[in-house]
Amino acid sequence: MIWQLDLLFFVILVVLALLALRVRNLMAAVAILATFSLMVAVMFGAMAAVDVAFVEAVLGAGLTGILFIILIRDTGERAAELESKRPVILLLPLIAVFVGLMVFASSGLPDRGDPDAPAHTHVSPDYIEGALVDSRTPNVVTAVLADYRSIDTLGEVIVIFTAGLAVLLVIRTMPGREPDPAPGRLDGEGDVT
Amino acid sequence: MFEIFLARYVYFFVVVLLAIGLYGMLAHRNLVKKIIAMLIFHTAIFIFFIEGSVKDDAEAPVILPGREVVAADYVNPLPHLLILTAIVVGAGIIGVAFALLLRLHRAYGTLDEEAILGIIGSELPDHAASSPEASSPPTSSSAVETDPGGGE
Repeated sequence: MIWQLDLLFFVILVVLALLALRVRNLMAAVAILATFSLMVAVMFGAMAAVDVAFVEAVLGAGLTGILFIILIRDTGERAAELESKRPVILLLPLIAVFVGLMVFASSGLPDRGDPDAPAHTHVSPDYIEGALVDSRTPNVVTAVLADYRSIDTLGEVIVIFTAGLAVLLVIRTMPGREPDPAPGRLDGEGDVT
Repeated sequence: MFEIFLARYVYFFVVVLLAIGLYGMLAHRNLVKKIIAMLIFHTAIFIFFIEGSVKDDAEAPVILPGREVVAADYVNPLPHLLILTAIVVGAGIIGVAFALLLRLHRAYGTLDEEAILGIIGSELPDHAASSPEASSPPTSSSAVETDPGGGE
């Protein structure tokens, strides 16, 4: 993709991330987070990852925002205290060490857009060239997800089922529960995904 | 120098986003803010993977009919698959986290981490006496009995 556009998106993302954490009103923070996810989805689309862009727009920008709004409406928590009593002096060296480690680790990674990067030369060409012949599916992502690697996708469904089950158990055994519809909507979350 | 920047700026921005997420998770005392920071952290990981799938002069991994298939013409589809799975599992994580937050809020009446820790600390010596959960055993048992109707 065009690198200037990519750079612009990254700057927007950093600003939105800082704003989402900085703003005191939780509803505003959730709105900014949904904008962040939508920007990420647009960025994925620009990087030719169309399937990921769809899923990020639906789940990241849509469903996550709705769940946040249900949570905030249900708990009545509207504003967050900004500053922790924990001293920032302790945190900054930790973040600096983390950033240093990550930058050090990224020095071994391939350049952006390099067609000979190790990730592009191992099994990936076989999947791309075989998808249409083996599964009659032009979309390689669909072919791998639902055909070559369908057992792994079944495993993913089990993970989502377990998450839905965990939500049900936590909500149902909740002490002092009032009869309102919001927890029921949270239960359905496992089925939606 | 400019070529190095073009090849490397992705890693720089991803690390910045990761650092913002990590700082938010550690520094904020409101649990909703902590989850927002966690989402920023894992979205940064998604961006890292999808940037890794990019090839120069390549298209979306949808095979066009009537043309010879050359792998170098299409971006790598495997990171897309990993991230599709990760986004869906991320929605599951958010669901469980919100269920736990709702439960914490019912038990302590706040989503402020330090307030909750304060309540837990003050309960420890005599938790049977004047805690907000003193009335919870009867309510919880009645909630379990009335649940099958209300939960569906």
